[in-house]
Amino acid sequence: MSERPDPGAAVIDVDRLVVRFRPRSGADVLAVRDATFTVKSGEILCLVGPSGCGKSTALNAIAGLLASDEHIQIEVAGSINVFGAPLRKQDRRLGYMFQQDTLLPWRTALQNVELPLTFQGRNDGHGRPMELLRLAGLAAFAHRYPKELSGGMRKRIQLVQVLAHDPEILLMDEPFGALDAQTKTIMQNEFLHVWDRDRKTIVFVTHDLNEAILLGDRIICMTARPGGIKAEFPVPIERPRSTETILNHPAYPRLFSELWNALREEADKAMRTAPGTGGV
Amino acid sequence: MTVSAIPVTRYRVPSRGLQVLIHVALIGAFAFLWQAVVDAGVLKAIIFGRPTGVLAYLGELLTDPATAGAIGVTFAEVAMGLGLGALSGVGMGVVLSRSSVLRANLDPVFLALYTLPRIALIPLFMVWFGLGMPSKVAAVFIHGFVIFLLGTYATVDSVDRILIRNLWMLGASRWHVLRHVYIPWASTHMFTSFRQALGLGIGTAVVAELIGSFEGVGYEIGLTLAAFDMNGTFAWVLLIASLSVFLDRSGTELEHRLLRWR
Repeated sequence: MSERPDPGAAVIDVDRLVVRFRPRSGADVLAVRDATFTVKSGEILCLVGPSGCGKSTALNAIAGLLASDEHIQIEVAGSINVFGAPLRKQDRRLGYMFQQDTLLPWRTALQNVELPLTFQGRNDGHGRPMELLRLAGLAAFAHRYPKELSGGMRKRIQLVQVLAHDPEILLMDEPFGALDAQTKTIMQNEFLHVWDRDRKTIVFVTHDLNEAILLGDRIICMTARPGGIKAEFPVPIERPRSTETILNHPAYPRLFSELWNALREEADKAMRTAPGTGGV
Repeated sequence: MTVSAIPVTRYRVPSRGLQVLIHVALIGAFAFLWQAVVDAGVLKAIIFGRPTGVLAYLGELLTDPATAGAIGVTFAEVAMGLGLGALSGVGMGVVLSRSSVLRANLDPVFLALYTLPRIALIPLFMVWFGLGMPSKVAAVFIHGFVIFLLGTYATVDSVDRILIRNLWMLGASRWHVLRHVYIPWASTHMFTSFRQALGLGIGTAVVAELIGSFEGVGYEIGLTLAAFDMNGTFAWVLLIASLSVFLDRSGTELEHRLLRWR
């Protein structure tokens, strides 16, 4: 593991980020406008905003996932610095967890977890992937194929896969958004537990305010498209947290209503303009 | 208070043994009817043959070493045609799906080839390649090429992009993506293409041999037809049909073994 910057130092610096989509057919879309924010080492930063506001686009810009192809041209302006240097392609220090199922269906749970090590030439067969699965309580499912596992189980394995990748910054795009409410709550609490072990830097995109309050050290609310920064809220709830502790915390109702008011204004605006494309 | 039992209808799937028994009984009944009608003189034996005659001919075929030779020729044509067709179809499909310009220009040609009744090209191949095996290989090849080309398009177009994005974020190279996403994904489509192409390929080879050749199953069928020996025709058709079904089933079995993850 490489040396870590001081806790609290800015590890991602997004400065006046502008993202414009120019599809080959159809109108241009300005997805992100003048977004400026930093992410500090070891914190969980949550990005919330109305649907289609460009929060996923901002995350993808940090991940280096915005690439033009024959259908769409993507223009990115402004600057993104990661650990004080401009963004590199396929930076190993960045990890990404998608909302969708991303396990390869033709590989078992264990084989999926081994992939990042194989790609980095670190798969020495010393059982690190198995150990990670065991830590997550998934050892019994190591040799199952994804189709044999429940949605929650697949999500856990996805998390273990990205832990095997071992990035210093983990970008998460509504990772639990497709799960049912119960499974989602369980996953959020498990995730907090895992995060607490080594407190990696996390940027977490969600539209679920409860989720943002439960997980985040800070919450940034974005404006309706084109997405800019509307307001920033620190979460004054001490860790360790869990679903029960935050719901009973005195600071919770006030923070929730402040967040909701900020979000609702923007959601209203978003509803009065063109329908969002979402998720690009 | 009484609770009346709700009658539950049980749908029982017949056991495998019973299924086989039913099939045999059906075929037996059909053969019996056929035999009776021909024996009674309602249908002419010289035009319709008769089951006992077909069985006798089949018995002769199975003991004659020349039978394996004829089957070998036909299957060699199918194997070569499909092998070349798969190689070039998949290769062309991969190249074209990488270049939208090439694809836009060449697709109309391939689509024309797809809609064209390809069997009509067989006489042309005979003019070009003669009456021997090469013209049959060419006829099978055309089918294989088109089916595998379209199968490859379907594969490349239907790959889930999110899988590739995830692997890319995990540090995968282009080779890794090909090795871990495209090839496993393609294998499922290739089995489907293979089964389609096999059925068409065998049919095409036999028809091509019927049109003009001096060896192979189609040639043998042609001989029995020329001699007005309907029992022989039926025997050969039965033989090649059972072999095709056997190959198709083996392919399906292999698919289930290899693609356990589905």
